[in-house]
Amino acid sequence: MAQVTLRSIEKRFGSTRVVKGVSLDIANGEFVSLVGPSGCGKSTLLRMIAGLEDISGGDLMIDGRRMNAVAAKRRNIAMVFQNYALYPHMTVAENMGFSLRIKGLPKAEIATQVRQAADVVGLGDYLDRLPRQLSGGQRQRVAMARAIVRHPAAFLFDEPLSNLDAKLRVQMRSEIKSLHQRLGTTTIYVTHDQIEAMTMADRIVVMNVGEVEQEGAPLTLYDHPESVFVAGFIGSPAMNLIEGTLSPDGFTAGPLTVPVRARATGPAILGVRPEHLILDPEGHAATVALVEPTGAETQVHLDLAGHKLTGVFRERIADAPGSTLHVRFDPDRLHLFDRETGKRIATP
Amino acid sequence: MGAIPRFATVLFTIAGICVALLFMLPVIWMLTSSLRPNAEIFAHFSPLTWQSIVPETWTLSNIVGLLGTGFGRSLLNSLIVTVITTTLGLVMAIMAGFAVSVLTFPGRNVLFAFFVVGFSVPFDAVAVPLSAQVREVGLTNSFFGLALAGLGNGFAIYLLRQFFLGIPRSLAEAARLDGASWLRVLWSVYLPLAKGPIIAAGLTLFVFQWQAYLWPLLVATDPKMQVGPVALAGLVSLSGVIDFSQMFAGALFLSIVPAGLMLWLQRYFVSSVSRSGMTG
Ligand SMILES: Nc1ncnc2c1ncn2[C@@H]1O[C@H](COP(=O)(O)OP(=O)(O)O)[C@@H](O)[C@H]1O
Ligand SMILES: [Mg+2]
Repeated sequence: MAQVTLRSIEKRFGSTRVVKGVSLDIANGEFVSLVGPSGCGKSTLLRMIAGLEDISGGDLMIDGRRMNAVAAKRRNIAMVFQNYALYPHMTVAENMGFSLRIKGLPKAEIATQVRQAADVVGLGDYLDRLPRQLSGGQRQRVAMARAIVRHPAAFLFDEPLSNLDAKLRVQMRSEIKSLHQRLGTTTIYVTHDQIEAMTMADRIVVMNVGEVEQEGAPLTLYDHPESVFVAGFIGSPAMNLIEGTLSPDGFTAGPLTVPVRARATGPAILGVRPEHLILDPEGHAATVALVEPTGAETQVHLDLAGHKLTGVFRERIADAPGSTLHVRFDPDRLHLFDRETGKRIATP
Repeated sequence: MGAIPRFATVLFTIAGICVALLFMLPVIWMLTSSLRPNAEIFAHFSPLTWQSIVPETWTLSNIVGLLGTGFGRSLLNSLIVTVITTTLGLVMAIMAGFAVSVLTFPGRNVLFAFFVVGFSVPFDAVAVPLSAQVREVGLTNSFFGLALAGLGNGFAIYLLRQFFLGIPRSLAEAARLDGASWLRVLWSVYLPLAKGPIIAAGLTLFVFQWQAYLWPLLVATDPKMQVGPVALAGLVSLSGVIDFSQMFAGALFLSIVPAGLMLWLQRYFVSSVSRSGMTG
């Protein structure tokens, strides 16, 4: 197990800065998820930690030791790749035992450890199969078992579930999480899927064009996004964002006026999560565009004074498209952002 | 249903056999000509009859005579030199192909371009000055000197590089994280996956060396170091009269080795194709 520290980590490919001074402290045994849109530098950052990519600037420390110049094979870090990267010509057992064989462990010892790790992920019956004789989910498990068998200082995952179908993805999500709870190994998990990050991680690091946008516990990010970017990225369906102006009267966007407690004035963005729209006959009149009942709740797409909003309601709503629905915003759950900087505006 | 495809199959099989026989004809001619007296070879040459390829008198005297000229020794030399070229050359081509496809270092593509340019230069154009250098370092009449010219084979490097590039990079990276050195990555991951291309590269090296004529002629001045093709050509000038039946016997010996090799390796080609499926 290990503690991983990044100090102003930089990555340049030629003259392109892909990672721009990322600093992070990852505690021993923590499960940290790096999320962000495709191309924001998540994989590059992970690969620098693994030693697969040179670090252009800054320091990488593992357990207090500077690792920038240490070869990948000496960092004692295991990685699960998006395409699993199983050795196609080796059986499951050989795939798992490869690292132990390189270490020079005796055959019997390797067999014991491979069996133990295989049992952890429920692969005991498949040890003699070749990767191509396995299903996607089983390959995923082999990739994990190959990491587990090494007892590494840290696990790195790079979008490990993106090649699986939706149902298997949900299942593997909880398997990886419970694995982490059992083994307690420091884990860095890269994904572009914020739901994966929300459900699995102790802490989420949101990245945007090579920089850390915000980091914190999943619900902290959800409740207090520090920027429009995080507000829009975390949460599904996404937060409603309305462009308008802040004045002493409140927030106005065309005919829509929302009372808010903010001292700042000027161009602003009002954010409200779909579940913070409340049905209220006294509220703003909105036109129903689409109704999507999921059983437990109803998702409604609305047009409010020209703004497209999404609402999620516990009530069952049967209004036809085109009809009018009255909604108001939960005043305690409003988010305000500066339209120029995209940063959160404090609401006392 | 059924009858038509079967009829077509029979037809195609017959056509296939006919074409195969046509291709085989020169080989058969070589075989039987080496087993008949010299005088008989051209006696039935025109018009072509069945006697053109079936000897009236069967004899082993050509082969006995050929071996009497020291041809066996030359054949052995060929074998030794070719084994050296193929093994050393393959090791070099594998290393070079791996380096220019998997390792990352500044100037990698320039290096690869050098390899490619190297193999597009006609060898005959540089053979004479090159042999002078070999003479200077005292490698004339040595097996290593004979093998030297065939060791660096740009085509073999190219072939392996292309194949290595098709192997997902993440396999090498996974192996690196598993603690493997680059040599180990090559040995344990890339080589087992590249059996087919390695055999193809090996055959390229083999054939280049086995049929080499100019270079051995320049480098092996001692008759004891002569290789097969040079000895075969030597049959003409040595005896004054051209003993065609002996030449055919020599050509036969020179063909048997690569033909046998191809037949033996054929199954590896087939198995390597059916065993591929990197991601599947
Ligand atoms: N080897 C490379 N050479 C040049 N640019 C690269 C290389 N690898 C990644 N990039 C660029 O770096 C950026 C970040 O890539 P990546 O870390 O893979 O993003 P993510 O994993 O977040 O989708 C992308 O714009 C990508 O094009
Ligand atoms: Mg990525």
